[in-house]
Amino acid sequence: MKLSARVNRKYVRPSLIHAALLLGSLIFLIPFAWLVVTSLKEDEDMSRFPPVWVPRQQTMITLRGREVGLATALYRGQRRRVAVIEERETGEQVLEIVEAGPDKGRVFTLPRSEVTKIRHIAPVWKNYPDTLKFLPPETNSGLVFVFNTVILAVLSIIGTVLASSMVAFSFSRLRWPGRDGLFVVLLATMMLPGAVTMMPVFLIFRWLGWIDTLLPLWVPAFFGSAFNVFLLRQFFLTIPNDLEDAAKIDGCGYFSIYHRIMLPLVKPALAAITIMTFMGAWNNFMGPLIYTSSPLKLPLAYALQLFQTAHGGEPALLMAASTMMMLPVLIVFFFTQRYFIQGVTLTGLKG
Amino acid sequence: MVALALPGCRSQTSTTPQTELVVWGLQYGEESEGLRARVETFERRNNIKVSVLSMGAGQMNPQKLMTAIVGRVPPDVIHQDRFTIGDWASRDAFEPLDDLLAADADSPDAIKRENFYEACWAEAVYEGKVYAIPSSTDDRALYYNRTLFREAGLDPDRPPRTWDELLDDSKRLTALNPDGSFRRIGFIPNYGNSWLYLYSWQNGGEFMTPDGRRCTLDNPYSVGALEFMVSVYDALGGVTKVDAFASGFQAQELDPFLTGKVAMKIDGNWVLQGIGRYRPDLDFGVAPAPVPKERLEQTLGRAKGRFTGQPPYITWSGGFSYAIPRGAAHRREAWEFIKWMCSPEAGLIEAEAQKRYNLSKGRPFIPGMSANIRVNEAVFAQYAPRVPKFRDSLKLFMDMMPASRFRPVTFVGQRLWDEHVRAFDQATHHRETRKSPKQALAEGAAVVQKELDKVYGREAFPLLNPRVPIGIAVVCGAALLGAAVWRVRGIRALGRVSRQEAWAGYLFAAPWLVGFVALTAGPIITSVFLSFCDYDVLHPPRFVGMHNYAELFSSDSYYLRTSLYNVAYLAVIGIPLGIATGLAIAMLLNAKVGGMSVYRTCFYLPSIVPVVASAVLWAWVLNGDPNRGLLNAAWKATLSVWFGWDPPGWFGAAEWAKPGLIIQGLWGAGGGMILWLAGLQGIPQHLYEAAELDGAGVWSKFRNVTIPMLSPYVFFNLIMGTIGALQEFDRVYVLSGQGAGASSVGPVDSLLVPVMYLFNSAFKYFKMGYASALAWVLFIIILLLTLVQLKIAPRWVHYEAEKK
Repeated sequence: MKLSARVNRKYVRPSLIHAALLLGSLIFLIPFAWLVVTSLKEDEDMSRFPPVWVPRQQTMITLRGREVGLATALYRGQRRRVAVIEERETGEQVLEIVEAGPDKGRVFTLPRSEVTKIRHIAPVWKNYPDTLKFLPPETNSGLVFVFNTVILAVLSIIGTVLASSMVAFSFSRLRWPGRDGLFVVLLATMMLPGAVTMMPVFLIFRWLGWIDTLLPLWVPAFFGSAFNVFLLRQFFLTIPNDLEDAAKIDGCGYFSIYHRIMLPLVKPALAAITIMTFMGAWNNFMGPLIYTSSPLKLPLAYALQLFQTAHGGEPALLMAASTMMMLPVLIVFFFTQRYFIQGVTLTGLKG
Repeated sequence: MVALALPGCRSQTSTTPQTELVVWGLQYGEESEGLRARVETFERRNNIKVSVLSMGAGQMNPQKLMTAIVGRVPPDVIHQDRFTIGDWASRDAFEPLDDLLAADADSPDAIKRENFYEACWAEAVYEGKVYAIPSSTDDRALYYNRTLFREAGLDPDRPPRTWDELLDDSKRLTALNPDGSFRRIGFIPNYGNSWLYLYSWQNGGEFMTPDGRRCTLDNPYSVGALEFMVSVYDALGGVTKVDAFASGFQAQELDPFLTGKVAMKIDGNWVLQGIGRYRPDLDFGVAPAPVPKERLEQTLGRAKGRFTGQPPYITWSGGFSYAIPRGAAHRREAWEFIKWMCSPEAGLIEAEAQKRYNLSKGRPFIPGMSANIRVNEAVFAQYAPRVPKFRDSLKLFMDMMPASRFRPVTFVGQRLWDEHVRAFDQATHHRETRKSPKQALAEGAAVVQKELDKVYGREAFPLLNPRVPIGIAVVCGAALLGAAVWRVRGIRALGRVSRQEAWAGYLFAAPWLVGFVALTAGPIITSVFLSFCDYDVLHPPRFVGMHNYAELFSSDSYYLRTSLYNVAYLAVIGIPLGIATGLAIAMLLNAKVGGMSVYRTCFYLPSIVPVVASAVLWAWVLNGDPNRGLLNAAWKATLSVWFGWDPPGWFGAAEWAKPGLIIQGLWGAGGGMILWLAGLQGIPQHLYEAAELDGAGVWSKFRNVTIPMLSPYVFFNLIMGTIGALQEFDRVYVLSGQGAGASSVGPVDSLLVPVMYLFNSAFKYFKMGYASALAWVLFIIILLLTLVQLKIAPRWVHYEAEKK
């Protein structure tokens, strides 16, 4: 009895958890995997069903000093290995038999749909440099967009974390007249759809001369955001009074309580806010769209829109650009997640 | 290197500083090598730097343009869909170009009306003034697959000419799979690009009276046209079944016409480029779009009637045009730019560059069409495709241009369009809506008529005296200040410690207080005022009292009810599911097993996929066609086999669109998981240990420790979820661009959410006052819900410490 419980604890439960996690990860990963695979596919493999999960490319050979594609096609009732030596506007292909035999070197013409390409497994890495080439040259292959986005993200994070934590501290751990009424007002500011206050806000920023700069995008972060204030307030409220009282007895001022006691205790929340603010700034589309116009002041999220065109567009390039845009975020997330895992255990709260 | 660089430097310093011409709405991309060549030639010849900005898909975002014009920082040139020119011109957003046209009437590069197709030119004229110069154009005709015609025993040289023939041929070309689903459809009336507009014009219907004062959307000929469309859908087994099949039709490479899934379609000339690129060997033909039999008899035959004297076949053209916004900084240069872009020489440069690019990619070059006849002639003479089928098709499209119609130029153009889409949607879904074509069109006509009457009657309302809002704002400000002073004075009554704490409280809250006063309070008060005004943003507001609110609750109550029902559905089902999923994932990820950081990253991934890419992904995952959609393919292989359930149509079906949206939302639940994880990490381990000592099991620990300790987070998620759900917008907005039914709000308005309606009112119909009223109604609803939640919170939310 006892043994089976131990086995259960040691082996069965972890494997069940692993199974659940693996299944979940798979479900959550499939669309993303498709995104990455699409970014590495050839044009014509885009729309096949069942989908092509392994990127392929036509095998190329050098024929008389020229790179040509290999294929198979019927010639006099027999399937032959051929090289495509010319594409005609009519949709026909001029083929030359390359396999050894009496017909080697024979040239004939077939419609494209009757020629089967010989493919091998190979990702189309070229989509990535193509994606960068696609951007206007003055953006330095998109580096300008990255630079703008990084500035935006860093300043937004500093402002949001600083201001929101101060305001949340005030709304949760300090008593002052009018606090609860103003808290409802704070919540209420989130409830009015942004579309209707957009125009007056725009006019304020124009009056300040901030149009076509990045200022309207990060300065408001230093006023704290209602969402994050509310979030941090919830965290601050879960901290027991004893710690604060002890600090007061030790003669700590309010700033020390905020700075030395409260902030370290909500580290996981601050980490969460940091990453969410980062994400928000990284993917912010509407703000830059309204306030900036010069191509050199636009951030990344805007550039993505360039890959969608009126009739169709380039799915491979869109997905390649998306992958490149997500990569830094992924890396940041992967290496910072330990902060909100360890955050609490580092403090004096344990036990 | 140095020697090479120097002359460049010198030449730049010696010339006057370059003018920078800002052009919005043009897009550089792989389809626009020719555009780049044209712009670069202009830059070189005029020593002007052209700065181009687009919003993707060649469209300008209306918000961007509107704020820029109101904020007096507009671009110099705007490249805009001609169909919206009337809307913007009527609000004085664009400058009339008549003086510029007259000034260089005699110069060799003058823009002359007679060089343009009549339909294109007339579409850019509003109340007798020219507001834009047409650039590109398109028109529509019937594409048909000759191979499939032969297979079905039809004559490939005799495409259908009348509606009856079209329906007959369609029936013969339609093929089913053994399970009853479509393998191929002969013809889908609204697949491609025809809409009710084309059928209606073919049948002699008009949408507006010539004076533009009355909307005649429900005229008997348009009703007849819609009845025809509905009958074709019904013959195929209903619009939902067709839509499920059709929701797989996306981009050019997926074009079902190329893959033989659709045998005929009415579509624009741009489709030729897609065929040339992806299936140049397709055996297809192009013919004028079939018309009612009566029309042919009265035009080509001897019969006399209302069609006598008209062309037998007609088409519909649209396209883009260049306009100069009000307040543009470089009007002269802008005009030079427009003249250049519309000239035959620029057309040839474009064709040459584009052809070179296409050939380098192994794609044939098939020129697009210009609104300028001279450009078309010059380009066709040199660059027409050599392959007969492409050449003949392009020729047919060009020859049809003189017989083309265009959407009426009116300030309610956008509304008319949207209502006509809605009427089509409601009439084809008659099983759900129980509406006849006549009813659906009459409802649409009434909506448009109301807008017309309001604008023609707006003079009756007084202009808002600017002193009134300023006065009220001052009074409000004084009252606020007074209240604040009174509150602060109250501090004195407190003890020393409390007083210090109060001051500290204000100090710590200062960032938000300052931000609120500076950036939030003013705009909110402004929006209160606007909700009592008729305000189109570009004209001064007029005071209309409670009119906006009255309209919202009376004649427009359908939109309010539908949109509120939709968000209620999304909230009541979506929020608990979201909370449960987020918490479940977080608990799994909080377990102590190896490889956790990899798992965490996997679950977090979906929430960082950029919105644009995620829309494309989901259109693929939730595709209604089991032969295309990933989820439906899995469904068909499992649930259909086990229980005989048919896969749902998701965004293509009225009752499945919202569940689709919820599922899509759950995929992003990993983003919320961070918060849950942070909360879980905050639960002291000793509580679990104590519970275990008491003999608590897994469920009991979850129920008695985890849930109470997490209740502040549940509460937070509930409030934020409610606010977020009622303001749902982004995803619906993006989805609407990805084939969520015919209308932008899902089939039968199933995805019409309040903020979507608000956005459309404000930025598509220019009804900012009405949108503000809607925002306040929404605000009150959210506020009430939040207050109720705050009120019941103490009963179930457990805080470690709270100072009352």
